[in-house]
Amino acid sequence: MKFQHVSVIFVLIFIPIILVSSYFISLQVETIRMESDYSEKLQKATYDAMRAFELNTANEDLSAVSDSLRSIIEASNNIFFNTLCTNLGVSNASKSYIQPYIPAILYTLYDGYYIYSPTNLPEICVDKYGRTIRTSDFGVTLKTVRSTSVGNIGFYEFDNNSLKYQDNSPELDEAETIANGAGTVDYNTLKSSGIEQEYSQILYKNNDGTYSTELHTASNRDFSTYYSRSYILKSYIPYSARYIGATGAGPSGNQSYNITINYTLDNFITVEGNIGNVYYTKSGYLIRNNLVSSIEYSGTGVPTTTTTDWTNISKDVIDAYADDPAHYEVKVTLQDGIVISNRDGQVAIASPTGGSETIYWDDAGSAVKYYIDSFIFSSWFYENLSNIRASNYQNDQYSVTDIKNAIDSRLEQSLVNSESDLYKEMLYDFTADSTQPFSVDPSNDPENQESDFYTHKRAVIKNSITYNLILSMLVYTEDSRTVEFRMPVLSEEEWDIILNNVTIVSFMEGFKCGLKYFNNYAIVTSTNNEITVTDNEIYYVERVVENVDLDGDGTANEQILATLDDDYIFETAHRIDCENLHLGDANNFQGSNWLGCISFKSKEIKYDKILNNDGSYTYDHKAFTDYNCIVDSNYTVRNRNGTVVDGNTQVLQYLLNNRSTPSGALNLSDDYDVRLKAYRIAIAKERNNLYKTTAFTENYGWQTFNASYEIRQGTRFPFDHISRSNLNEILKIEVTIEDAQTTAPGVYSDSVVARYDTGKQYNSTQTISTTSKSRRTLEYKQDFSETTGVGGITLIPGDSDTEFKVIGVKVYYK
Amino acid sequence: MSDSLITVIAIFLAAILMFIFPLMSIAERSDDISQLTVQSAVTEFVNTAVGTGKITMNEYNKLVSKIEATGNKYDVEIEIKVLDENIGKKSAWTQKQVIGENNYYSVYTSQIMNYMASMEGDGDGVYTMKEGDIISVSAKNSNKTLSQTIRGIFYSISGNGTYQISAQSSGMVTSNGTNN
Repeated sequence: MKFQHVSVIFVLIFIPIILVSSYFISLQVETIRMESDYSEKLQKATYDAMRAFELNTANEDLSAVSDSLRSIIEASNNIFFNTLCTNLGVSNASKSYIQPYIPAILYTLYDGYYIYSPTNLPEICVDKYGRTIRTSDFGVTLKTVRSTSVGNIGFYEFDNNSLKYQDNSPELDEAETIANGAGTVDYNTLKSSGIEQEYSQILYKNNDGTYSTELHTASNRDFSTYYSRSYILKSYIPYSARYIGATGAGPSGNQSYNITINYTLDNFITVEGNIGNVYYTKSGYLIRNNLVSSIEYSGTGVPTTTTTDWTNISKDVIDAYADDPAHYEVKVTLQDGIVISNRDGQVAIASPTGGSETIYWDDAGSAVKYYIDSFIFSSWFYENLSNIRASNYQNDQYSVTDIKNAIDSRLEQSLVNSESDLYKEMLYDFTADSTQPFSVDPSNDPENQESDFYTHKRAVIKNSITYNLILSMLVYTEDSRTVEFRMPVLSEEEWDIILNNVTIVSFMEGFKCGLKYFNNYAIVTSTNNEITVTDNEIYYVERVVENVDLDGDGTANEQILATLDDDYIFETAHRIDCENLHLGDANNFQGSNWLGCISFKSKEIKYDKILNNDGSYTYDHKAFTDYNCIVDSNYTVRNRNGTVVDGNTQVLQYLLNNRSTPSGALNLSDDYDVRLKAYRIAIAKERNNLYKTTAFTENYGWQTFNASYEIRQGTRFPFDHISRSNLNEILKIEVTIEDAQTTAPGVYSDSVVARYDTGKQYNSTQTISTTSKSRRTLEYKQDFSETTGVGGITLIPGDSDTEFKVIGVKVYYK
Repeated sequence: MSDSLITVIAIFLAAILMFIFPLMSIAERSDDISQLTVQSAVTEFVNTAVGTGKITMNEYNKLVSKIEATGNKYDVEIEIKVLDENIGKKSAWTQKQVIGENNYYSVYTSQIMNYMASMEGDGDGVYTMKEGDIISVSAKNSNKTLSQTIRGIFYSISGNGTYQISAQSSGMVTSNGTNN
């Protein structure tokens, strides 16, 4: 054979092979292209969902309130589907076409999270007007009794032509049929079948079209309960954890506890539950133990008082002082030397009516309140709960058995164990973890992401979210078509992103994509919203005085405070660690008084709008923003020694590290000290002003004492087994009395004094009516400073002829 | 005789292997590059529209000239889904079970073009949108690209979906547009 023959044969053989393989490769390339295309579309849809969320929270004043929040999430969810459908080239009317491929969308918010996922719901039997049908109604007949997963239950049929109160045959009106008795299934019929408990119960549809009163499964699938699928936003799940211990709580560390702690994305927590015999409901910011080293207050009629003991502080009184800087000064000294006073930033300005007036800086007052409230809460918390270990966490929120059951129906038994083990690995096991997340150790700073508290909180939140997502996806897969949905393993970095900010994570699985199925997820976080405070999303502008000509004498020699809408050079806003921010400059002072700064969240730069008459918006930016710090990718900060580092670090740590003397006294001529003070005030102000859904309006614990025998007036009421017997720990008491009467003629009321065993008594008395025997409650509230014991209380009426009976006392603790 | 035939076939095959295939491959790469250009131009157009809340004749012309610089003709289709009410709530047309369901109606290329043309002169051809509207833009080549032509020699593809370059982008409008 000649060379030409060989080459032609070679070509003829290889060309088809090359064509086929190149076709195959092009299909693979196409698959990869489609995959990245879908990923981008998913990312974009999630991004749009987040933008809708941000816009809605920014435009709605009550966006943090849970009902409003839920509708905002629903709206954001709709935007997600609309954008995704549009991007995939199907109209948004075809939402139902996309929905089966979205097993879950996760919304992590400030104090909890929402999961949007398909859910199976049973169908209730109704007549043609939508009225719920019970077994006793017309049109219902008992067909048979079968054995099911919940025991023997009845299977009923319902005639669709019947109405709730009226059979289709007799010509009776509704009232008459009710009067004539109910439908055909009567109590005795059911009793003879042994299912009398089903009388007058509502009915659920079964797969074969019959109805039963209980949700069940049967060996024959036809006889099991029918479930229809619907896509719903599941209930709000808080980031909560329950801790139980037989001992270790309380000031002496020997009391039992059973408490639930609700966490949030920052250091705000809510505590609810029993410590010893006292039930506590408290919420507040948990700050590092000893962060606040002392609190000092003074003012009109109040001598200068310094305290370091939380039980000596009355929150209501001191808050009122902080709100009134003209008459009272409240000063908080932090451990790092920073002193914050409600009189910080005070400035004397020219009054429009002539002369001068002093105005104060509201932010400082707000910050003082934040630190005092946090100090009271944290001191109580550490005193009572610092010994809790991570292993005391109660795993009652999720169980691997539930996961097993969910997989059980689809896999062989041998696979169920290995598969559920895989899921088990995704959940953190607390049982062997002996760290103390609430330890009083100063290194355990709840605001620091490397602290034990933060690590533990992260594990709690991560477990809760992972478990609920796994279950959502497994339940969805259970009777889905051919595609199996699984919870993807998110990396630790991704969890950090999710647990730091408000985030949307959308999952898309099983979408046909070239040669394979598309499985991916998209994460989008938000910092511009109404419901969180992130420290590196707060912007600062100097607060300065400017000279103007107020009195019209031709010279600008009257000082006023510059506002942001002035055409002023200082209007550029910066982040606190931006090198272009000059908070300690001379014009930021009036004499030796530092004037402070104006701080606001980045949301106000981005979404601060004014609605015009024609419906359009103009943006009322509070300030210009600095190119260095508004653009993340080129953001750098300068250390004290002049080195330039990446700017997106932990802000607080950066400021602390760069002080001239760590933990030294506040030095207002040092730029970093001034920044640290401004940071402390700004973050405190923003947090203090944030609306929290889980917060309690009043923080206290309570214990009730009932009289086991009749206690008359003047007899001592003993507090048996009282948990905290120091007088200064008691917030108030409520005494319930009845049978008030008097033998003295013409006397209709009397005042009652409450006196402790030690002789201390409440200054205010309670007035009771002696003509009514009904039960009533007397409330006594006063702050005592005594640390002596409280064993019991005696109620003494002003008139010895007055008599009443004490039933119980409720003692409220601080 | 048979030798000459084989030689002719061999030359023919050699021609295919040495010229047509490389040409095809180069033409396809050039389409890939066009694809990138078109995709980025369309995305940029949509991002501008989303950020500013308006489409201007100027922007549209810029898009068209940018993508036609790839040497092909394109059909540019714009669809704006106009939100009937506020972004997520209180719609009169909602389903009773769903909170925050929105109603959209669509406006298409020709309507938008006509509107802008009628505005030209005084309003400078601006089509305004509002917060919450969704804009979707797609561009597909309308002529045959070189690679399509070469492929057509070997095997023909008929029907509507014969485009080689297509780019699509969409987004939710985040601010209310003005005519200025």
